[in-house]
Amino acid sequence: MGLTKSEKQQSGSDVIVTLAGHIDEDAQFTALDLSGASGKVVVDIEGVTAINSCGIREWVKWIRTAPNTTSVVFKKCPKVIVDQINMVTGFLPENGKVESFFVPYYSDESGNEKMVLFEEGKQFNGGDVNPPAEVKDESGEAMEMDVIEAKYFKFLKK
Amino acid sequence: MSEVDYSYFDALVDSVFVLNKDKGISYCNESAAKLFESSVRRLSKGRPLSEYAKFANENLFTADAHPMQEVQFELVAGGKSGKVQMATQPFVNSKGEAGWIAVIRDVTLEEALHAKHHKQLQELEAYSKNLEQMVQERTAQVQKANIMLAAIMNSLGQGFLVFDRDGTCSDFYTKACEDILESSPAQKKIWDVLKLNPNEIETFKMWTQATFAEQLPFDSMKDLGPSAYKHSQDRHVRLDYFPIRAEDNKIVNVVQVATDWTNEYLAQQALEKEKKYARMIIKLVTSKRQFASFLESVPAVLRECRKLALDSQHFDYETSFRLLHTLEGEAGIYSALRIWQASRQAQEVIEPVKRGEATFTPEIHSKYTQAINHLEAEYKAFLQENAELFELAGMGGSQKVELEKVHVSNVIHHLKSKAVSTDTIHYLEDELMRETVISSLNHYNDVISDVAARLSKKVYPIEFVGGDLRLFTENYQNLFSSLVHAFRNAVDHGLEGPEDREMMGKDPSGRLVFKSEFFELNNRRWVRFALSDDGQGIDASRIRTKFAGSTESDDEIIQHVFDPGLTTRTVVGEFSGRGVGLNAVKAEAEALGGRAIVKTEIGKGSQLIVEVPDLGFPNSQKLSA
Repeated sequence: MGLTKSEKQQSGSDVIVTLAGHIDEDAQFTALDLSGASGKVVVDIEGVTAINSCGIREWVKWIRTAPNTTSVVFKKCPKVIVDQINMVTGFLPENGKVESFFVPYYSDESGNEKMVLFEEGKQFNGGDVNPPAEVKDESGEAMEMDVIEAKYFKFLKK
Repeated sequence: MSEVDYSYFDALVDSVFVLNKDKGISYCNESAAKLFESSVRRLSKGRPLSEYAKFANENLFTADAHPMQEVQFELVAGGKSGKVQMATQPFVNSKGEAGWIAVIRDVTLEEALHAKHHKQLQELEAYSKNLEQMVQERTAQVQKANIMLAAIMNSLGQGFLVFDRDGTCSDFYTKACEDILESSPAQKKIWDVLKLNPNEIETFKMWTQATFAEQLPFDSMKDLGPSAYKHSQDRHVRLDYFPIRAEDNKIVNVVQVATDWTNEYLAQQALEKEKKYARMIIKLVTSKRQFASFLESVPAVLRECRKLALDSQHFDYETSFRLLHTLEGEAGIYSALRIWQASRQAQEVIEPVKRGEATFTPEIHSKYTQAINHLEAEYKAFLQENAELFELAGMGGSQKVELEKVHVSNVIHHLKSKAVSTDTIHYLEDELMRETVISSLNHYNDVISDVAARLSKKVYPIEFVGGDLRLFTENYQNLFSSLVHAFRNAVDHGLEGPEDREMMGKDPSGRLVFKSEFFELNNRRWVRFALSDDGQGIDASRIRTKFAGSTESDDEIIQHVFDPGLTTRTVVGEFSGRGVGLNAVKAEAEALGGRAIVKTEIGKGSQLIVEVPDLGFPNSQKLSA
C-alpha cells in the first residue's frame, strides 16, 4: 500500500515533513532525503496508520539521513509509532524527540475508543506524565488509558 | 490477572501470550496485542484466548510442547485472518500455576510479500514476453513497411541514392541505379558513381562541402551541382538533389535522384521535327516559288564547294564557308532539316581553318569532301522523302501558271464569238475547265476506310471505272457531297462482316466500284454514276413491312430506300439509321434534272445509279479578283 502522503517543505531553515498511510515495503522515502537540512526537521506523522517490519527498515534508513547536528522533532505520533519507538532501538534517532503523541483511551462500558493528544509542556514534561484528570467518550462515559502506562511512556524517560 | 512479571517478553517482536490453566490470557506483549488488533490492557484480563481468535489447530494447548508449526487463524471479531507460526510450551510459573506460553509469529506479511513478489515476477515475465512479442511485431511491421517502401521506390523507375558529407553513398538505393547510373552505389564515393573526371571531382567536393554547410540555401546550392549523368548508351539522365536533415535542421545526408528522361527527350525531338516539318509545309504553301528556288540552288552550291576544294594549296575557305553558311540559313528558313544539318556539319569541318587554328591538310580535305558528299546525299534524300508533297504543291516538272476558271471561260467565250470551231471550243473546255470525276470523289476512300474500321469490316479502296471522265464539277458538287451517304450505306448496310463473307465464300474484304460514263438521251449527253457493292443486297421484304398492303413489285418496293425518313434500323448508329442519306442523293439528282434508282440482288450486292445531264460551265459564276 505504501504512503498516501509524503511531503517535504521548507519553512525558513526548518524542514517540515508530513507523512500519512502505511510505512511498509512500498513506502518510498527517496524524495524526503534530510541530508541537506540545516535547521530543525519537523515530522508530522499523525496520518500514519500502520507500520510493518519492512517499513521499519525503510524508516530507520531514512531518518538516519538527517545530519547528527540537526534536531528532529516528531509531532502527533500515533500509537503504532510510539510502540515502535519503545520496541525498536534507533527508531527514534539520537537527535530526535517527541513533541506530541497520541494515547489511546477506552471505555469498558461503551466499548468506545478515543485518541488523546499528549503535548510536551502540557500532558508531559520530560519524563513526567500529567494525564488529563478525566476523559469521557461522546456518550459521557468515563474512559481509561488503553495502555500499560509504564511501558507506553517508557520512551519519555530515555 | 496473574501478578507474575512477564515483562521480559515485552521487547520480543514475536507475539507472546501467557495462558492460565483455563487458557485465559494472563499476559500478552505489544506485538500480541497488535496481532489481535486490541490492546495489552484489554487482552490481559484473563478472558479465554478463544474469545479473540480461532486457530485451525485446536490441539496446541496440551501437556506436551508443540514446536513452531504453521496454523491458519482468524480473529473472532472479524477482519483479520491469515497464517501464523505458533509454538506452545506448557509451564508452571513462580507461583506454581500451570499454564502455557504461546509464541506466535505472524507470517501473513511474509506470505503477502511472497505473493506480491511472485505476482510482480509474473507481471514482469508477461511484460517481457509481451515486449518481445511487441518488438517482433514492430520489427515485422517495419520490415513490411521497408519492403513496401523499397517496392514503391523501385517502381518509380528512378535512381535514388543517399550520400553523406564525405561523398560516401549509403547502402540504401533503388534498383534503378544499376541501370540508370550503371552501378550499385552502396559504400562507393558519389563522384565515382557519377564517373567524374579528376577536375570535376575537386569541384564536386567543394560543392558538397558548401552544400552540407549550407553556405547558400540548399535550393540555390543544388543547382550548382552536376545536373546530368553521362550515360554510356547516350541516354539522357537528369540529376536532382534533396536534403535529409537532423532534428537540429542541419543537413546530414543528400538524396540524389537520377531520372532517365530519354523517352521524353526523344519525344521532344520528334515533336520539334514535326513542327519543323509543318513549318516547311507552310513555307512551301506560302512561298512556293522561293522554296523551289532554294531547292534549285543547292546543286549549284555543291558544285562550287567541290570546285573550291580542288586546289588544296589555295583552298578558298572563306567563300566555301560563306556558301555553306548561306545554304544553312536558307535551309533553316524553309525548315529543310537534313540540308540544314549537313551544311552545318560541312562548315564545322573547315571552321578551324577559317579561324586560323589549322591548315587545309589532306586529312581536312578528305573530311571536307566527305561532308560535301554527305550534303548532296541529304539533299537528294530530302527531295525524295518529300517528293509527293512537292508534287502536290505543283513543284518540279515544268513551270506552271494559275488561272481562275472564270477567266478561262471568258477567253473561251471570246473565242466562240470569233467563230472558233466547236471542236476546238470543246477541246479547250475539256482541257482547261473540266475536271475528272475521280478528283472529286477520291477522298471517299478515307470515308469508307473509316466506316469499315469502326464497324470491324474490311473493304478494298474504291475502284473507279471511268474516273478520268471530265465534267464541269462545279455543277455536281452538291450531288457529290450527298454521295457520302451512299458510300457510308454501302459499307454499313451493304457489306457483311469479314467472318460472314468468308462463310459465304466471299473475299473477306468488300469491294465498292464507282463507274462513270456518258450516254445519249434525247439528243443530249448525260452522265451515269453507278456505285456498286458486293454485299448482302437489299431485302425487299423488310421494306415491305413498312408498306403493308402494297402491291408493288420487289424492284419497285426497294425504290422506297430513297423515301425520306425510311429506315429499317431500330437503332440510330453513327453512320446510318436516320433515314436521310439516299433521299439526299435523289434530291440532288432530281435538282439537276436527273434521277436516282437502286438495283439489288440478295447475297450479291446492290447498285445505286444516278443519271444526270452533262451540264456546261455554270453561267452564274462571278468574276473573282
